[in-house]
Amino acid sequence: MFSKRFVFLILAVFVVLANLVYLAVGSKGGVPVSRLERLTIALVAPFQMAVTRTTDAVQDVWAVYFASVSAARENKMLKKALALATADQNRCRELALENQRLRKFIYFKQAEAQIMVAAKVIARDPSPWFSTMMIDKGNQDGLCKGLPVVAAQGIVGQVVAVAGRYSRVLLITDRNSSVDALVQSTRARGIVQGDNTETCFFDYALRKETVTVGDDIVASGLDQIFPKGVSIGKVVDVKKENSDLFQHVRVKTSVDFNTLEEVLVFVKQTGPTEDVRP
Amino acid sequence: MNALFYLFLSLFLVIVQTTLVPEIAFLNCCFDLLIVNVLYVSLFTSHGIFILYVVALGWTMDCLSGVPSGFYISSYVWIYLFVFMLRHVIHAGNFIFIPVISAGAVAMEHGFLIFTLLVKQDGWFFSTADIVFMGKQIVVGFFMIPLLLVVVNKCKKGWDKKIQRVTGRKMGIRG
Repeated sequence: MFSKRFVFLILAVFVVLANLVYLAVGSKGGVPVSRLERLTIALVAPFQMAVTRTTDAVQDVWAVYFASVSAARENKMLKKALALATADQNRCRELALENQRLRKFIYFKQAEAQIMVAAKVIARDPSPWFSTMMIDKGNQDGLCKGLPVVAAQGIVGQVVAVAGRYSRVLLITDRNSSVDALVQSTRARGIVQGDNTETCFFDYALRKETVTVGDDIVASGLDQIFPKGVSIGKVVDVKKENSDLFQHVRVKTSVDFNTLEEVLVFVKQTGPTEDVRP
Repeated sequence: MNALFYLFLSLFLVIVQTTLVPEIAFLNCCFDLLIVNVLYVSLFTSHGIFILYVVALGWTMDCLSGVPSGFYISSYVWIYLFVFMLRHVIHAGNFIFIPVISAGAVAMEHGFLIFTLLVKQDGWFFSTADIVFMGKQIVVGFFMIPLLLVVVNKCKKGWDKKIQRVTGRKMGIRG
């Protein structure tokens, strides 16, 4: 009834459409993480780890040489800074004691200790259009999907896929990432949204709020993922358009993702809870 | 033995793509290196079984990346099929054919990327910088992929010779 050519054409159109539908479902996150995916990660990640560790070792030798040259000069400066820091530390100790007294006074429980797992970055996303990275800790180390990942400088991202000894982390610079945040000085609220570059957007900050270049942006803790007060970055650009309800704010992340090697994953995260008094 | 060669090649490219390329600043315009692998099998092999190899490559990359599920599988399979079919029309050794299909393959992957991101984000959000970046990758692909294909071809020939020597020795054949 139909020619071979016609059947082939229909089949080809069907295959193309089926593929586009599959891609569309995948784009909307409709395809769940399978065991086979975990297995693939577990098979490839050891090789990635070996190469990353080797290149890190070579870089370290190079860096140590240059570091020792400038160390003597830096030492003098650091001694001065240490003297100032010691004075600051004393002041902070006093404030901590005072804080403790006041907390008791208003019936607050002490925050539970955070359990953190240190992990090494072993690979980056092969696509320049997505910002994820692989770390060498997985569900065998107590990690699961959704846990916050931080570094000494600030927030790194969130665990999105976990295999036995490895996990994939979605960085805050990815377009799919968003973190509820505050301007530290003025407490103006907004959402830090990734842009696949070194800077992020600080969206939904109202025009009436004061946001200035150089302000620190910290996590608000309201998203129930990232601990409150952890640094996200600094404001580098603020634009207020007359017709807009919100300001256009750009934030430079505290963490330099190009040189990031170690991260911490918050395995158990609990904030201060208020005592209910009868 | 051929399977071993392709396993090593793909593992090498996956690791370079995920560990070394993101670390080196001047490689930030580098295209997806696995395209070299896909183009190599579509240009220089005739067995249809290689489509499974291409699917496996795509699956691995999908697992290691934050891309929407199925993105790499779709890109690689369509690149493979497209080049495989074109090969029957144009001679694979044609000096202009390989650079053009190299650039075309990078552009095709970008096409899939634009489609998946449009579906994901519900609308156009690519900036001029993004488009320029894509263009740069296509240009780099035009010049670099043919060179890498030559390198891979040389490696394959070297591998075949070594295997022939080893198997010849085992069978008592003196060359």
